[in-house]
Amino acid sequence: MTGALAAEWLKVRSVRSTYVAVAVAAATVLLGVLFVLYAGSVWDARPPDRQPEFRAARPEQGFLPVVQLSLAVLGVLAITSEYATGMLRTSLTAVPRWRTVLAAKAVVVAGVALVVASAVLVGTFAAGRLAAGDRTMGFNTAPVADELPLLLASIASVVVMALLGLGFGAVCRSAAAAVTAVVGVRFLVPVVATLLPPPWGARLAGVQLQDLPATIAGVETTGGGEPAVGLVLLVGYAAVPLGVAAVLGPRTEA
Amino acid sequence: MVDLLAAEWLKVRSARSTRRVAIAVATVVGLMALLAWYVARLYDRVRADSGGRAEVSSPAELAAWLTALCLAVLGVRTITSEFATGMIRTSLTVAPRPGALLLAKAAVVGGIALVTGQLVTFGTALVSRGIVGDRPLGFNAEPLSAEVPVLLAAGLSVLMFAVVGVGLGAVLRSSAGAIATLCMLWYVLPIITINLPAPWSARVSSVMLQELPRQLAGAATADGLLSPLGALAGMVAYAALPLLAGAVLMRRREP
Repeated sequence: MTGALAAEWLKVRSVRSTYVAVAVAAATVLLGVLFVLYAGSVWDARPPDRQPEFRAARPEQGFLPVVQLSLAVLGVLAITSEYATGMLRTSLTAVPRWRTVLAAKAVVVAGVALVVASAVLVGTFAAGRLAAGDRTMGFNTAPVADELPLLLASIASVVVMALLGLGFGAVCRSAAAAVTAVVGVRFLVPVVATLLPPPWGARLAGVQLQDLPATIAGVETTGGGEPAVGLVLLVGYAAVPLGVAAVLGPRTEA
Repeated sequence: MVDLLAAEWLKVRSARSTRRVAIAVATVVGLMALLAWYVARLYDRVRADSGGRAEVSSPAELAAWLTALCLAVLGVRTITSEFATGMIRTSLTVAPRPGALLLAKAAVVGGIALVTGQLVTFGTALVSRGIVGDRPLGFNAEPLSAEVPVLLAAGLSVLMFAVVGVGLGAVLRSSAGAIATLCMLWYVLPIITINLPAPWSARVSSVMLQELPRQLAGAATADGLLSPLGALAGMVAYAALPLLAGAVLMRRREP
């Protein structure tokens, strides 16, 4: 397993797409600061008696989809690029057990996602607060400690998105299909769910990937779920596609 | 150019991803019909206590939005699959001008998207209106004839997205990169711009890809800032700029 892990780490480290994905995710810090600076200028322009009611979204939450999507693409490419180039046959010659290969990829992808998401989201959070200064803009009024659960849950959601991408990539074996499927689960299902009349809209709202960080952190829940249930669902989003991929096997057309 | 078009048509026709996209589009229409049927059934059940009023967003516009993603993926695939397999070298040997090659791809994919977009939007509008009948559900408040400009524009947005897909694919040369960028433009960016504080929220949102069709039809909501002509210019620019960038990059890079 150590050898497999080292191999996967080397692969992730040596392809350009990794750096592109990380750079896009890192751009969030800059975008978050720009967002806060613009919101701050709007705040400054308001008469003082209307300043307290001003509300701006949390920058790290607003740009969370960008981080999630870029690391999901990293997860997808970790496996589909091997299908595209035929490298997977070499990988399976070196490490004949599919599940070991998949597990090693999952560990490396999750590790990269954890580090990148922590750095980017905490960075955006801190930079946003610094840029806001002492203006009361809604997102920066609570003490930092109160914001930690949502921040941690958001980081976990990025790791889950990366693993979801890896799982879908292994199931679809094509980057185009896997990225589209990830986007479908993350962005399309919520849109379709809001269109459904009750009771189905509300039933589906509680299990959406986009709402799970808030559910787990126990804030602003639209679906109104239990934090523990939310955590189980979040783990499920990562585990189910990977489990299916593990059962299906590599299916290389050799 | 006729030969180029014929070649690109053959490639699109024979690729597996085309069939998958066709299946996805058919599923979209089926889902919209199912949605209309479900809403109609629900309306009958709760009519008594809701006072007979309901607001359901237009299944046809939703269908166009979803079909746009499907056809944009097709647009991406027509070019990135060639980069992935190395086929692009053969293509450029046969047709040495990258600009002409890209234009032929855009024309074929655009033609397919134009037809698919209009068929899907008008088909969904007819089917969903037929299913809900005369129940007042908001989206069928006005007669179909009044909805024609919006439907035409929504159908055109499918064409725009498909060509954007070809352009992004040529620029990025990677399916994953191009589709992810596309999804940023198609969904992620608009939800971020909506969350900006006023006045820039409306200004930036009005030039987001998905907001352009309604402004083109002159049916924009209050925050629509572009005239129909401005929206048309925006749609043409979205389609043309990535394509142009792709052509320039393909000429300068080793295939």
